[in-house]
Amino acid sequence: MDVATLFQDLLGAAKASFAKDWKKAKDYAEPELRRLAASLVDIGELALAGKVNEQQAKAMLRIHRSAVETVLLTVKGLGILAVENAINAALGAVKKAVNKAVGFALL
Amino acid sequence: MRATIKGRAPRLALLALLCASACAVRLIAEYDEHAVQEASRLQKEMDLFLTRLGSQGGAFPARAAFYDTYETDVRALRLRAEARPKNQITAEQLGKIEKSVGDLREVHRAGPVSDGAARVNRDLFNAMWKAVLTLELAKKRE
Repeated sequence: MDVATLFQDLLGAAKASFAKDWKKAKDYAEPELRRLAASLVDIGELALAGKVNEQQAKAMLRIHRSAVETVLLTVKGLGILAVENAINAALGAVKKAVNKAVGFALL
Repeated sequence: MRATIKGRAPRLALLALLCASACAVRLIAEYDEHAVQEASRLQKEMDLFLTRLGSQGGAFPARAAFYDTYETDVRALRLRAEARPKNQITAEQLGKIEKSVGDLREVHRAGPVSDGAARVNRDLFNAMWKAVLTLELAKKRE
């Protein structure tokens, strides 16, 4: 059991976990933000067509802003979960190396 | 003295790693089944309310009670989220939904809600509830 091997195990496990988890966040965020962009255009068109008045359009824009922020908060949360997974994957790799080195299930 | 500490540093570092690896690190709250059930119920309720409002219409006074009840339910869910450790993100999301209920009330109070306006608002609320549910379900860590 040497530092270089442990480091490689840690790094490899963290990288693999983070890449996989980041893809989850990206797969969620892209279609959601595309839909929200379309909703913004819809609000503008409803206002132009007179189907909502000025006060309604302004309140709907505030709801739109909250929706964008809520989606971005999920992306932030998924990112934190990805970091957590990466840390746990790295610690898991160390556990494997330590158990192998001592010859029994120490951890 | 300095040499002694320096000599022990690798072993201390290894010990720290061993301690850390003994239990899983948690940077964000645990999964909450009740929150998922309640968020799903509230999503469905708002979807139905806005679908009916778009297709059947309805002046604000006749529907005013809906906003009070709905806002109270969202607030209760937010308070529950705030009470759970490391759950600030979900609590913040629910705060934004709560605020949006107030904004929707203003839309309705300001005049009739057209079918198009109801549809856009429904999409926005669905996006917010989906965001809450996506994060909560990810906390299952499967």
